[in-house]
Amino acid sequence: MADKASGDWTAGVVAMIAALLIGGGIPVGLYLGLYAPKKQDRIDAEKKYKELTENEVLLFVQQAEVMKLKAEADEMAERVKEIEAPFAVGSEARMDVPKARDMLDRLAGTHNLKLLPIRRQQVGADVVFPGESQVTFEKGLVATKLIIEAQATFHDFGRFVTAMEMLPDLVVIPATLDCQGDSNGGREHLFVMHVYVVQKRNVEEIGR
Amino acid sequence: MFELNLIKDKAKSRQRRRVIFLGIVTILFLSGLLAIVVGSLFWQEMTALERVEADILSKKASNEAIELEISIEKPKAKKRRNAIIEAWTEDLDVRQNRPYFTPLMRDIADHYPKSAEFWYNMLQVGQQELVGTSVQAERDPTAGSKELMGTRRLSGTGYIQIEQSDVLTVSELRSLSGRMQSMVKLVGEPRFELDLSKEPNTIQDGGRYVPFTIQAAATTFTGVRP
Repeated sequence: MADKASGDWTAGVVAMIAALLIGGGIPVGLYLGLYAPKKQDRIDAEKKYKELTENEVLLFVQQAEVMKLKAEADEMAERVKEIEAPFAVGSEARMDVPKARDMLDRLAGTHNLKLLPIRRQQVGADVVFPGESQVTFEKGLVATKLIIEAQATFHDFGRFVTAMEMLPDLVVIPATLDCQGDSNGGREHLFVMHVYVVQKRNVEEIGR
Repeated sequence: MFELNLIKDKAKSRQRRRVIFLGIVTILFLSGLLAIVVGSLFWQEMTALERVEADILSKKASNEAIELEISIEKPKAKKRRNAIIEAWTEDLDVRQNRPYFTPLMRDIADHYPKSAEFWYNMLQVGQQELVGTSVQAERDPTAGSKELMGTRRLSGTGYIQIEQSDVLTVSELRSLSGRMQSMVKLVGEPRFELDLSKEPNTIQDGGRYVPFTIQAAATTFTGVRP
């Protein structure tokens, strides 16, 4: 009787165990086969996102450096404009600094500098006229040549040179000077002086 | 008795089947429930992953854009800043160290021998040519500016009246050049020399008028505002 009774349960128990195995296997399989890899993928992706965020912070730092460089350049540009305040504005058409030339011509007039005798008959002759050449400095500064030809006493010319070199709103670099004494023994001598007037730069174009 | 037992067995068997059925159904129900929970977790992870991947793509794109901007802007900003600093330095150098002729002309005007008539016929101040100028100028377009900011050479001629001896006149000229200290910075120390070979044969009233030359050699120069 007991054997029969246990035999009656056997199939049922087996079926239940099978159901348990199959029924338990599905969620476990789903967990291990789908959920766990996806979770790992999500963790990896989040890690990557975090790295990118950290990288972004570094990029922001670099961006701030660029902004700082630009700010420094702007600040220096202002200082260049300030230091170049007494530099002349050049003519675009030819190698000339018209305003500076006029200024020097007026200065020559106030210091009694006269035209050379050979130029007195020329129409529109000036004591100061363009030298038609320029020199370029290593970092782009340009100076334009002007020629001063005059007849004057040494003292008048000397005072003119001093006034020219001390002009607050012009930077003039004397290059050469040729003085020829009056052959008749008079007090007025002939002076030929080459000077260079330093020109303003186009600050906005520097380093672009 | 036999029939009773049979009935009893059937009842037991039905009950057993019911228990087994219920057991299996319960197991399958719980398993399904668990599968649904796992499925929902999977779904949650999948949407989270999609969201993070979208964020990654967007962040990557934004980082790449910033990187590109930096790679273009940084060298440009550096170049401009450095160029402006160099320009400012050059401007400062030109303003501070440019040569002046005033000290030279002042020396010429202020210093002369007290005891003799003396005058200049000609004075020339020229730029010092750099060594190998023609070749260098071809290669270096800034040679002109270097010459302009450099030293000058001075040469001149004149006449001096010699009333006493040549030796005394030479000594006086030497002392004269010693007093011309301002021009030293620009053209070097001037040297006077009597040119006795060009002395006119006629001796005029009050002494001889002898030509002289003045030369100055360049030294290292730093501009000084007059």
